[in-house]
Amino acid sequence: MKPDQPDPAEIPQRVRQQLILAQVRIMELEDARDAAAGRLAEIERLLHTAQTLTDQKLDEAAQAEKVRADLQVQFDHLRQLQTATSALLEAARARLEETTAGAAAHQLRVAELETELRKLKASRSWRWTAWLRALGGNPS
Amino acid sequence: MSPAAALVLHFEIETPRPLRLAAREVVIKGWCLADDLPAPPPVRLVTPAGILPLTGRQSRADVPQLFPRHPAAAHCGFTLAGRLPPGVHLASFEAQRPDGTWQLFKQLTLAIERAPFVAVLDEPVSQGTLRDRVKVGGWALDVDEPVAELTLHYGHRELACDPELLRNDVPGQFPDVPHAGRAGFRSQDFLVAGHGPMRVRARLASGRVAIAATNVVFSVATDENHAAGLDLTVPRISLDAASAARPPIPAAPTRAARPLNVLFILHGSFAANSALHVAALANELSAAGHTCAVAVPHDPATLAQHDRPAFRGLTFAEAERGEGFADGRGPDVIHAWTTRENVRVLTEKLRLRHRARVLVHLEDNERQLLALTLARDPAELDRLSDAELDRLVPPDLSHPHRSRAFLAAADGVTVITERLREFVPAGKPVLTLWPAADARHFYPRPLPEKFRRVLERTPGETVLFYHGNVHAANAAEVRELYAAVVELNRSGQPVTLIRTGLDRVELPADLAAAAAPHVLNLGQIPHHHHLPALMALADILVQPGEPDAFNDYRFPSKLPEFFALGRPVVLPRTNLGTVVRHGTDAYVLDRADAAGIAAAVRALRADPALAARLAHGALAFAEKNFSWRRSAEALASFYLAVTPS
Repeated sequence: MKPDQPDPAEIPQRVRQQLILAQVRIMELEDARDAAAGRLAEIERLLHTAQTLTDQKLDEAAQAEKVRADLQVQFDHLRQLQTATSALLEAARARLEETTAGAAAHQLRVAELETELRKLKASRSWRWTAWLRALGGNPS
Repeated sequence: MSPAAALVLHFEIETPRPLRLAAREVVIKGWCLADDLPAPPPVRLVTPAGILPLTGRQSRADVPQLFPRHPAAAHCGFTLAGRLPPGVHLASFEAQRPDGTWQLFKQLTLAIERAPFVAVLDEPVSQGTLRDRVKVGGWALDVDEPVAELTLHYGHRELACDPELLRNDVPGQFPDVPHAGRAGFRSQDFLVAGHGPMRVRARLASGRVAIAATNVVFSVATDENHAAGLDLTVPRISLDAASAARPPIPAAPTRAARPLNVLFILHGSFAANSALHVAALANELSAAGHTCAVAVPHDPATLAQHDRPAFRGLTFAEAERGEGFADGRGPDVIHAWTTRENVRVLTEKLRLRHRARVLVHLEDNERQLLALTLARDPAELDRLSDAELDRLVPPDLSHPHRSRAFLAAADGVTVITERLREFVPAGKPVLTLWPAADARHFYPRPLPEKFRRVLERTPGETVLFYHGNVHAANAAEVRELYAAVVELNRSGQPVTLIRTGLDRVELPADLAAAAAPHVLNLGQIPHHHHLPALMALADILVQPGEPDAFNDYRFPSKLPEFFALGRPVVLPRTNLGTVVRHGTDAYVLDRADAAGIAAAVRALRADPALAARLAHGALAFAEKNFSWRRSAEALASFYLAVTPS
């Protein structure tokens, strides 16, 4: 359906009205343009900031990784030292145990011999032969 | 196999950072060398979306200064190039060890922008000015998706084109774009009269719209529909010629020593005149360090009509839920904007919950407004019972009885005119708060002479301007304004009235018909800040009306805007008309009815010196008396006086 044709006398009035409304539309579009430009600039700024921040964090992560790798090397070295030290310690401990066991056996033997000696000295024969040992200058 | 020994690398990525590349061809430059290697190691860039290989080596004069004994320093520059899809990628730069393995040495983000839509017009010309009415053609390509529809734009013209035509030459330039071979287009018709750079506008397969400029300007003055006398090359005449006159941005206000949370409660949406006042005050209060929220009963989206609001807009429901203030506290002050029922009900609910101080703002003779709207006598309405009034009074008007109790319980009252103090209970703290005009937009604007010449029916025509809705309360006075315009034209004084706003009450048919040739009705202008450029078209600004029980108590919002614009203002001897000086600040009429307005317009047109004096006087009056900054400072002091510290 065709729209109603305006009265020819009304056309200039409509043109004047539309002329002003077109200016209003231009102002609205200018507002929209300015708002969009502002938003775009803000988004650009955000992206720039986000990228810069991410790059900074990547650098920090790389630095942290380097520190971690250095610490790992030190850790591995210390672990090696620890392993070697532990082995030496174990050997020393074994030797110590061996020595301790030997000493204990000797101690036992000493005790046995002392007991034997006490028994000998307490024996009747020892007492009876004391005079004989005295003749030699050693009565005990 | 034992891992290869790590290289000790020295390097720099020299493409500016953060890496953001617009071109399809991504190119990154830098330098890299390794201790103990006589030649620079090969480098590459690895992303999840693809790898950029080493494509070039450059000599470096600067690196040998840093590493004077290194044999590779003089030629360690590199270029990495290739194609990557749009997006943000994690880019890992790697150097190759002698055993062929790669060693990461730097990670960065890499943002790749979408390749731009490209359009080339090459038939019959590829650049310069085309002055022949011919069919034109070319090619247009978006690398991501094919073109579905295509139009050619120049000047005020838009021409449909056939897209997806065969082009054998384009795939050579875009070998990896499968639809490049069908990038051709051609206009369906011969070009018609028009003037301007030619642009290609395409709707792509996904619905996305892309626009690209070409190197061709089209310029043909006439065709069968355009007479030779119509010059299509003339520059656009701007309506807003006032940018040079824009005042400087004022300094920030003094910061409040005791910032408050202030909740304004409006009876209508942000599109109402009251919202202009509240928004201006809230913006100023916010600039001073207070936190403001404004609650509206409906259409919260109308906040978008305000220019850069510095407050939070809320619905009544959101305000009821306790939203509004970032610090989680409720309002210290609730400023109920009028005693209208919807405002009163919400205010009383929130007052109990938040133990806030309540101020009530009066801007109208509410009793008279209700009577006018209901077409009843005010005294008769007063005599009705509460129950009968509850049934009659709509939410956006004031209940004669309940509003009195509401005012009596308020901690303070603000009034827009001195006369409204008559409604304030005795002993109640009260502040008169004059409105102002938004200084960012309402300032002295010169007449846009060129635009006026285009607009005028007759040289020397007078233009009047009136903005605002027509409703029951002001319909009679707007009728007088229309009648004045008819009378002036009938008497040989050509006058055009530019109107904005909605007509909620219709004019009498005979008056509407008589006024129609002389009235440019622009309807609702959604953004209030667009009005000043339209108002600048006027020679005289007229506020119709006369002293009566409605006008004596109000302060028409448009008056500060009239005065700020620097035009002679005609107004009746009521409200502001009782304050301004006739012949100095404005043209004051005992009654601004049709005869009075017509006489004032004739007098001002007959005496340019008087018109100039009143234009100057209006500005001087505005500068002295209208300032949202000063009003907000007074209001903040009033708030502090009624709130405990």
